[in-house]
Amino acid sequence: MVKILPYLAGLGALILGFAGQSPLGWVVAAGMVVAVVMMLKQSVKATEESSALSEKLATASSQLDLATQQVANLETKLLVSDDELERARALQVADDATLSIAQTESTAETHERAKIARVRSEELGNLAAQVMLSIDEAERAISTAIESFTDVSSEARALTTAASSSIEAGAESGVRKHVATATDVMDSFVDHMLSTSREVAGSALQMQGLVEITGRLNGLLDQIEGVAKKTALLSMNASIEAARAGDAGRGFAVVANAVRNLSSQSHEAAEETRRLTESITQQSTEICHQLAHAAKKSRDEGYQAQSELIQLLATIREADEMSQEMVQDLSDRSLSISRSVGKVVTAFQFQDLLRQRLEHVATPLGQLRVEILQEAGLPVPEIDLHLPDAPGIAPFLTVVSYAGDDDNIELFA
Amino acid sequence: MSRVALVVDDSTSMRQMVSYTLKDAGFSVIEAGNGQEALDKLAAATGGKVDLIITDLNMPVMDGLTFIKNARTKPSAKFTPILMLTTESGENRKAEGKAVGATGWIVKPFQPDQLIRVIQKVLPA
Repeated sequence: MVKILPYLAGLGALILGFAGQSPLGWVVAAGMVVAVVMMLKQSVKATEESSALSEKLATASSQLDLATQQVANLETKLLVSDDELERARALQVADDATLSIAQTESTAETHERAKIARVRSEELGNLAAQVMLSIDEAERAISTAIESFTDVSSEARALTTAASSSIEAGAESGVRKHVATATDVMDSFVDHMLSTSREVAGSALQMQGLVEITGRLNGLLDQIEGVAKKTALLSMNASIEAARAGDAGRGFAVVANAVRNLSSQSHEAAEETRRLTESITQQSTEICHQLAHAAKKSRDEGYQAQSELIQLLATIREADEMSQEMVQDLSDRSLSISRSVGKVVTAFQFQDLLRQRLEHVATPLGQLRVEILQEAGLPVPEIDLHLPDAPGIAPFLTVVSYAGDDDNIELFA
Repeated sequence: MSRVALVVDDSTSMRQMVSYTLKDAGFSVIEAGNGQEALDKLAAATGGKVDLIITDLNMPVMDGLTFIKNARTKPSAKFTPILMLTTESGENRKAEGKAVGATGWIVKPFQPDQLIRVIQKVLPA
């Protein structure tokens, strides 16, 4: 009995040990308790078997230790397995979650990319549309400008034609012809006036001659009056002599008286003639003065009129020449305008070059838009863009610096 | 009766400029915006014939080279002077133009007087 006490103590310890470990420990402990009870009952009866029992106990203990160890190992393994399983499950969940997240992220990213692609595509479409709109607007503006310039040119050409006609008409039947006619008429008129003046002057001279002749008449009248005085004196002497002769002289006295009367009549006639002559002389002199004055006036006025007319015609001719020069200048300027419009036409061709260059910008924009939409798997809506293919355009600055030679032309044989 | 010119260009302003120059030189002008329209206008012209054709190279619908090739098959346009008026100056393109039957090649920009001189050379009065 004393021998088995350490075993009992050890067994109790084992039981307690097992019992504290796990439900399996309790089962093992219970089994061991039954075994101990049986062993205690048997120990009383079979002391001889105690050693064997002890061995069996030792073996059992050893086996128990082994079993315990195995259980412990198993438990450990189970625990590890549980942990691994849990971990694996956790990992699976995590993987699933990660996959889900990745899928979610991928979908979101795809959506985001599609959204960006759509926005970028719209922007590109807008850019291309704006470029084309700019081309159209520039085309319309240039077209309007060209229309205006060609109108100006047409007006200028019409002006040139009108001016040329005016020059030709002026040369044929215009002012110059009228001036020439007026000059002829005026020359004729002045000649006529001068001729008249000369004639009047001639008349004055003739009248002066008449005055001189009248003066000579006065001399004759003086002689007549002298004769009359002498005749009167003679008749007086004859009367004296007749009176001295008495009756014989009566007849002679009658004759002497008659001679005295004749002498008196001669004297009166001479005086009347002198008075008339003086009157004629006076009037002739006056007429002579008037004629001379008229002739001078006529001549002076003729010369003055001629001078004024010459000046007037010179002014008219000068005005006509100025007018012709102005018309010619107008014609030249009109031609110049027409040539300038020609230069404008050349300069405006930059629009065609600009249009093609802008179309070359719009073309890649449109292509980029299509590529972006296709890359994003989005439908490509049609937009109406006129985008011709025109490679090889000369550099713009080279083209606009064109100097006017014919290097840009080639005629094929 | 004035001579008739057919002007082909997709640019309205270019057609205006060429037409202005030609009208100033006494031509009646028919305008077309591309090669196909030009062929239609050519067919509709009096007697299917015009005296002169000036065409752009790069145009939508039908380009200038194709237009010339087609026009040269029409008896009425077989010998009509056709001048190319284009921004392109490459020798290869000129060779293509010559091959399809173009009479001459003018690189834009042109000067009105210059264009008239060229026309006088290819279309004696």
